[in-house]
Amino acid sequence: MKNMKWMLVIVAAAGLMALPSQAQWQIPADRAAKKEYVAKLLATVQKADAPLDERFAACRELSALGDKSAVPILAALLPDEKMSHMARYGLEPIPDSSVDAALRDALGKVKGRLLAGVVDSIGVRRDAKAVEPLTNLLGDADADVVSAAAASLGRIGNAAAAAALEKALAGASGANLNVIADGCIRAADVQLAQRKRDKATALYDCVRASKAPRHIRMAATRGAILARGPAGISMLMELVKGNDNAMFAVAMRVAHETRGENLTEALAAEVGKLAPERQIVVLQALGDRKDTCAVPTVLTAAKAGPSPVRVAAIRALPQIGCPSCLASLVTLASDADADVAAAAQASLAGFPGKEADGVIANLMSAQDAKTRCTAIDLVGQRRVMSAMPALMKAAEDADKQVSTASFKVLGDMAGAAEIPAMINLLTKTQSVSAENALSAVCARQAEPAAGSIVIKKAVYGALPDGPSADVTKKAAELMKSGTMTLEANNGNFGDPSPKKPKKLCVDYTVNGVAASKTVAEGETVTFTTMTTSPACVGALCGALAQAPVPAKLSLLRILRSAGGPKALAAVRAATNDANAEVKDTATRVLCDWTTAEAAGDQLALAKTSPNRTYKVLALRGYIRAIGDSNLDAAGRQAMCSEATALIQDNTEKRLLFGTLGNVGDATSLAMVMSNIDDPAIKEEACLAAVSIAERLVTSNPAVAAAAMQKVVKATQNPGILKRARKVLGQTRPKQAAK
Amino acid sequence: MKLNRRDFLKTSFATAAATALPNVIPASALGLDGAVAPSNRIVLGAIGIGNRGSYDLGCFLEEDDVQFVAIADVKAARRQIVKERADAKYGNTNCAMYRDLRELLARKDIDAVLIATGPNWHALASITAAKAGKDVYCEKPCAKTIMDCLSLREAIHRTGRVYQAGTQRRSLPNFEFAVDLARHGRLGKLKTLHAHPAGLKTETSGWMPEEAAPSKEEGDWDLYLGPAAWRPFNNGLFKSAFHFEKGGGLVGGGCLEWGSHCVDLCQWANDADKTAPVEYWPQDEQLHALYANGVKLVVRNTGWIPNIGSCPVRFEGETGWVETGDNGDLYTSTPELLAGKRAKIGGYPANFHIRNFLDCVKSRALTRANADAACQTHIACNAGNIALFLDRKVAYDPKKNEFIGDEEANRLRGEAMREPWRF
Repeated sequence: MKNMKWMLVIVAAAGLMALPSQAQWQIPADRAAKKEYVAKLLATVQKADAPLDERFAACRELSALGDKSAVPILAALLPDEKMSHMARYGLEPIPDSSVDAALRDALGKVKGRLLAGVVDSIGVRRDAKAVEPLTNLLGDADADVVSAAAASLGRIGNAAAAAALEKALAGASGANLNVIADGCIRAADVQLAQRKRDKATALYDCVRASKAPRHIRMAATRGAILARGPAGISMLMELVKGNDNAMFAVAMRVAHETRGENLTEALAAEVGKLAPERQIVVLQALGDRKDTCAVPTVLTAAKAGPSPVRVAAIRALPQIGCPSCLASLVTLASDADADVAAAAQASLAGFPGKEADGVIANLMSAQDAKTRCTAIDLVGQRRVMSAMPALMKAAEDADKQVSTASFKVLGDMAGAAEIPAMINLLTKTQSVSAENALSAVCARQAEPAAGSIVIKKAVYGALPDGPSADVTKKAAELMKSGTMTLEANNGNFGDPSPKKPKKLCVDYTVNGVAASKTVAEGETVTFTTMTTSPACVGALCGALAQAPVPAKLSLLRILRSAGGPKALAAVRAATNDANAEVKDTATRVLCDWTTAEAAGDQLALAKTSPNRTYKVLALRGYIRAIGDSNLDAAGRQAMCSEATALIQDNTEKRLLFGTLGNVGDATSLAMVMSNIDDPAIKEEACLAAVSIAERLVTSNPAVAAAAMQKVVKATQNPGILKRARKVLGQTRPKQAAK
Repeated sequence: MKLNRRDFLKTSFATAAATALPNVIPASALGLDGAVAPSNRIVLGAIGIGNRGSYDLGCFLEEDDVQFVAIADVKAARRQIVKERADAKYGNTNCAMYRDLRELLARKDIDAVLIATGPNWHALASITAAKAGKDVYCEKPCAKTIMDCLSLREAIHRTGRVYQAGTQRRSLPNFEFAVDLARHGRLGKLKTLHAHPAGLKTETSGWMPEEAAPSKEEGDWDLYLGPAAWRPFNNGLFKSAFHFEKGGGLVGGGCLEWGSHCVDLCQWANDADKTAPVEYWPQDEQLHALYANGVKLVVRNTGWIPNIGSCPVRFEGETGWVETGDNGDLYTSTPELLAGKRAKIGGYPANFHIRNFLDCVKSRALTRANADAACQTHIACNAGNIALFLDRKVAYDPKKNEFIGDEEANRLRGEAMREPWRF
């Protein structure tokens, strides 16, 4: 048995929950050695003075390894109050008929609870030879033994077992009635699985006719319907028409569980005659059954009647998915009843198939604006990409609501190919909706995608001067598999410089734009930072010169979403535009630039701008840029120092703490800690300090611990306190397990 | 953007037909006497309510058509906490307390139960409840051996009860959207599914030193152990959720812990609610598996998009991929795949899943995480654990529910329950 491992929990300290240090037992692969090992386990099991946990553990192993030789030894323990269960544990899976014989033999040697256990194991093994002794136990004085016998006979489920249960059912009462009835249903299930429908039906019917509690008779009724096959439909329909709500529920459960047009047709024929609350449930079942023969009935229910019934019918239609319903759903989508209209729209949105796409797209040219709006929304929900030209047209609709709806969907659905057309729309309409839509599309182009990342060169090793390996091919393979991260570890890249700290340096392009990242061993290069799309930025910049002022303002704001050096250059140039509005917008966009590319501009504005608002906005943008993940530690520290010198208000200090909490290092931690005594910003400083310390705790535990000791004293916030204590705990040397 | 339940149900329904999901049913008056209380409220009891159960119970209590009436827990302190909470909500003192779940299940007025015991009890309590005529919402992992999975499914079918596994990510929009992409060819032919297992090491509650036991009324140790092997009372064990039985650490834990969520989502994405992978093998500290339709399943702890949240999954097709987790965000191979993305919720609230359960209690429809789906997911996880344990490839026949020509593996499919417990 190759490398078979048993994980044993070695109990740690007394009274503590096991934090398992896990030991392994290597089971011998060699047959002779294995036999010897099994003998050793059996010796342990037999050793009455051995600790119980050792004997139990041996039984567990024997459940996987034991052979015929284990059977008499384990069987001898069946009458042992303490060992009986674990003896069965070991015996049950052993694939040898001697186990069955041993368990049958034990029936006469054990009583009460232990007897019930042995009976259960016989049932698990489905020992047909045990039917007779188990049948005798159906009359036992111990209710638990009767329960076990009934369950095991039900599991065996052959003709003899079924007959015994059926006979016992006739005279059963009280708790015994329940378990014997349940055993009958189990046996009937076995008979049905063996396609002995008549016998199964008779057994189910026996239980139905018994005095067993209703929930058991409900279960028997379910079985009785299924066992009758096609003939069960009339039985089910009687329950649908009858007054017993519990049995109606059984019928509905079967209607959801089974398939077949005959039952669907029967339900459809009846639904209109039922009380509304039952109509709803039957309509739900008709939807779930997906048979198109129900469509006329469901459509009739959808068009008239009580509102909840109509809604249920409308909801069933897309489940059935028959395209012939689409026209009716379109009509219902404008129904005067708001619930009905909403249900129809939702059904149209989820209606399966391309045909529905076409029907909905055509609605975009409807006469009334409300229908056009609905259609546009549905196109968006269904992601009908073929409707893109129609959406562009609708964006220029004279009705403002239609135009707004169309831009919203364009913002959700359009891609790079639509950007030039959307710029035209922006220029024409000069609307906020157009700007928002184009901004959303451009921002999406900047979201990372594995397909847009190309690994140019990757090197792993003791960089910069130690042994290293070119792992470009491996890194490219990993990227090709769709991952957005590369972890610097030997598992991925081998070990070119054993026992030396290693780094991974990756040069890559995103949408053709070059970038490079270096991380230490154990760290991960992630490609989830924003990227730029040259085509997108090129189109925006190209349009900027010719656009009227309102559109130009929009384009400047959108360039910030698109990002990248070219976009920044265009914005920078616009800060000198002759038009005051353009100049103002460009300056604000520059202040709000999200990466450190514009940090120089922001710093200059923060220091020298005569405009107080620009000064503040630029400083805030500069502080946010400190969080740019592409900055190195020195660059970040330099920016931090510059910002600190300019900050005059606690608002900006809090912003800086927030940024440093995300990206700060040991130097930043010192700066943050210097503010920990200022009551106005103490908690923000503590929060930032904890966030930094959580990252530092492995590489620089002393610094982290010193800071957290101060935080623990300073903070009043329970959450921060908890985190600080956790960091402190991580800095303490681990105690050896006792 | 926050989404309220009503909005979500609407949006969710919008794709229900397309994804062949169970219908979302309005909680309207149906008056199903015997399945639903005459008052049209679903009368609910709860079994084993600790941390997770308290959360679930809170979700149930938020629903107007739920009347919570009873708690069964082996711990007196927990019973009291739940009673006080329920009584405070209803302004009465009616919430009944039971030490033994069988007493609660004997009440005829209870329609459905929430089960949030330790995993050791999940399958047995679910089956016992179904046999008592109750519909069941049960926390995951739902079954700790392959035989438990099969018994659970069989019992739910036999009794005709409504069952919902507590795999609530089936009712959350980001996961649903990702599954929708996979199932409708928007990623091209499906190739590989990735699931996070939250560790591939197995857990076991072990054997702890004996300590003085509380009174049975204060804390019923024997009932707490239930079908597991006896061991001496230990307060450390008693305080924790009793997990798994087999001392080898084979069953439970491993890829079952989060696999019951993440493998479940992969099963759903592969339209495999009625089957499971046919081969499993450990590879590079991961668990790999193969479906009969050629789709591969990779269960791995590392390599996920940073900050994606817990329980991430990733579906890869020939032309695209999608990855998502509990932060609610969707990451795709191309931005266009995100078109029509639904509103983000984030976290992993169970409200929607519980609502789906309650609606199905009334309609008798199949829930999103019904017994068939839960059974196959847990078979996949348990079979994966067996491959990890044996440290080799195993082949599984999902129709016969046995490992092919593999006695070693087949003997690990189940374990004997301690008397007097039985399915």
